[in-house]
Amino acid sequence: MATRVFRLWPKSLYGQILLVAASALLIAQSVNAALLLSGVRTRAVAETSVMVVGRVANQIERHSVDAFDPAINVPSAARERFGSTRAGRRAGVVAMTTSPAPLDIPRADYQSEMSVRAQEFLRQGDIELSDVRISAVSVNALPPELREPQLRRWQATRFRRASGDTPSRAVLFSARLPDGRWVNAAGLVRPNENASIFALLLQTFTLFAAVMIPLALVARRIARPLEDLTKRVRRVGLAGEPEPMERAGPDDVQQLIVAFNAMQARVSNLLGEKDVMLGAIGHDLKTPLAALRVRIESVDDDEEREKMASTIDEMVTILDDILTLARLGKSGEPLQSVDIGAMIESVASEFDRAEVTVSDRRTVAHIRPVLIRRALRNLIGNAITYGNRASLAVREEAGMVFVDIDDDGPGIDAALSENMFEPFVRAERSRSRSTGGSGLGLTISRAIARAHGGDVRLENRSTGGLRATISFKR
Amino acid sequence: MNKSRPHLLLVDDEASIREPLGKYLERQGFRVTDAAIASTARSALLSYDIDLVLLDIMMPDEDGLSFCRHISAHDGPPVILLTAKSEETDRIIGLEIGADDYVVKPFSPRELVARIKAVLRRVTSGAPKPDRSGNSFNFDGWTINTTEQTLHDPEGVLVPLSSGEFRMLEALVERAGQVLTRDQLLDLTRGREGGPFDRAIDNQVSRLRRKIERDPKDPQHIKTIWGGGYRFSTTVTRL
Repeated sequence: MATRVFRLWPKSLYGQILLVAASALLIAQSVNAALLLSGVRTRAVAETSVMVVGRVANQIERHSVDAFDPAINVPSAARERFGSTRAGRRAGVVAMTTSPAPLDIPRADYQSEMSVRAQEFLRQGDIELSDVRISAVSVNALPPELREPQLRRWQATRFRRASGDTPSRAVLFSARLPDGRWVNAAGLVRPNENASIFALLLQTFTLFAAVMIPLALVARRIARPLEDLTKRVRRVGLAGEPEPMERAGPDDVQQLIVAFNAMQARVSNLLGEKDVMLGAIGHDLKTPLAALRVRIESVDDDEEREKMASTIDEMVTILDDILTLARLGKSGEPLQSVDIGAMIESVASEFDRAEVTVSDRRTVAHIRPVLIRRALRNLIGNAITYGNRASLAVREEAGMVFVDIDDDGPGIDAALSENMFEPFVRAERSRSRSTGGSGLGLTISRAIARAHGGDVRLENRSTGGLRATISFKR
Repeated sequence: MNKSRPHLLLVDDEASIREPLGKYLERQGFRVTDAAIASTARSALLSYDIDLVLLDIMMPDEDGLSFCRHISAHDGPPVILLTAKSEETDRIIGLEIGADDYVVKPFSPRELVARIKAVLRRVTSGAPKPDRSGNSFNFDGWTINTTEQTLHDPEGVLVPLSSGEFRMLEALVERAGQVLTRDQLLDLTRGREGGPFDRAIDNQVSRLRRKIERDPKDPQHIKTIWGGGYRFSTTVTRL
C-alpha cells in the first residue's frame, strides 16, 4: 500500500507543487459542491413547500372544508380539474387526501422552520388549520394515494420538460382541520440538480485553469533552472572550461545561480592553479633530470650508469603521469569517431601477453583517442604485471562502450578495490616499486574514463583473476 | 660534406643541459657550437658551416618551432628537435614544419648520437629527406595520413592500427599495383624499434584485412598473389 502511494507521489518539485495544488483545489471544490448542492436542494424544497401550502389554502378557500370527505376524496376530483389547465401545470401539481389521523412521518424529515412559516401564512389568510407539519421525504415514502397520481401526472408531462429526471423527493404537508381530521398534500420536488452540476463543473474548470496554469508556469520557472543547475553541478571539475550559467527563474533561484557561478569559478580557478602548479613542477623537474641524464654518461661503470639511467626513466614516468593527470581537464585533443575494436587491438599489439577477443560487430565511439589509448595501456599493463596476461573484449550497452580486461592474477580484496584508484596506492602493502609504475595508472585511467562519461571498475571474476572494466560514452 | 668532425649547432636556453651535452658530443667526435637563444643561433648559422642543428622547442623569445621553420624555409642544415613534451601534436607539428627527427627530454645521449649519425648519413648519401609534409593517400573512400599515422574509413571514423600494421599498409599503398614479396614487406615494415613488427607478415596482413576489407575472406584491397606475395589492388590517389 505504501509503495502504491509512493508511486503516485511525483519525485520532482514541479510534479509535487502541481499535485499538492490540484489536490487542495479538489478538496475545496468538493466542499463547495456539497454546500452548493445542499443549498439548491433546500431551495427546491422551499419552493415546493410554498406551492403545496398555496394550493392547500386555495383548495380550502374555494371549496368548503366539508368538501374533504375521506370516502369520496373530493379534492382529488378538484385537483384533476384544476391540474389539467396550463396554469395548474405551471404551478405544479399537488395531490391531496384527508385522513382521520396524521401520517406517520419520521421526525427527522420535518422541516420545522417551513412548518412554522406555513402556519403563520395560513393563519393570516384566516384558514383554520393547526398543527401544520411540512416534511421533505423521498417519493417512495409517500402514501400510494398521494404518490401514484403525482407520478402519473409527471409521466404525462415529462416529455415537455427539459430535464427528464424522475423526481426522487417530495414535500409532504399535513395539518389538522378544525373537525379533527387531517388534510394531507404532496408535491414533487422538481429535480434541478443537473443545471447546478453543470454550473459547478464550469466553475471547477475555470478555477483549475485560473490556478493551475499560472502555477504550472511559475513552478516551471523554478524547476527548469534547478534542473539546469543540477546538470552543471554534476559537471563541476570535469573536463572543459565551465561557462557561467545564465540567471533565470525567481529571485531566490537567481541568487542560487549567482552563488553557483561564483563557486564554479572558484573551483575552476583552484583546479587551474593545481594544474599549472603540477605542470610547472613537472616541467621544471624534467629539465634538471635531462641535465642529469646527460651527465651520467660520464660515469665509467656501465652497470652503475644503467641503474642511474633507469632511475631517471622511472622519475620521468612518474612526472609524465602527473602531467597527464594535471592536463586531463584541458586536453587539447579533439573528440573523434574511433573504431574501438581496432584501437584495443592496436594497443594490445604493444604488449606481448595481451590478446583480444575479436567481435564481429564494429563499435564506434566519439572519444579522445590518445587519452583512451593511455587508459587502456595502463589497464593492460596492470593486468600483465599483476595477473600475467590480459585478455580484452569490447561490448556495447545502453549507449556506453565497455572494454573488459581480464587477467589470471590473484585478484584483489574487494574491500580495497575502491582504494586502488587513489593516487600512489598499490596492491602491495610495502609500496615497493619492484613492479614499476608510478602508482597513478588507475587514477589516470579512471580520470580519463570519467572525462568521457564513463568509469573504471575492478572486480574479481568468479572463475578467478581480476576483471578491470573501462567504460565511456559512445 | 664528408667531414671527419661534423659541426653541430646546439640551441638550448638551459645551460645545465647545453654545457654537459656539448661536452659529451665533443667527446663523441663532433664539433659543437652552442647558442642560448635563437638570435645567437641565427648568426652562428651564418658564421659557420653547420652540418646539423639540435634545437630545443621551448625557448624564450623566438621558440624552437619558428626557428626550425626558418631554417627549413632557407634550405638550412637538418634539424633534430629536443622537446620536453611527448605529446603527439608537438611531434607531428615538428615533423611537418621540416624537422628531420626529434628526441624527447630527458633523452639518452647515446640515442641522440645515433640519431645525429643517422640523419647525417642520410644527408651525406644524398637520400631525399623523407617528405613528411602531410602525405595523404586515398583509396576507395579511405584516407591514410603517413605523417600523423592515421587511417580514416569512408565515414571519417578513425581506425587505429598498430605501428606494424600501419607500416604494412603504408608500404602497400605507396606501391599500389606492385607485387611485394614477404621478404620485401619484411624489409619495408621493420620499424626503428624492431620488436613486435617481426611477426609473420601473413598474420599482419590478415589483421589489416579484417580492419579495412568489407569481407576479409574475399579481400578487394590487399590481394594475395600466389607464389609471390601481396599486392594492393585498389586505385590509390595522393592527396
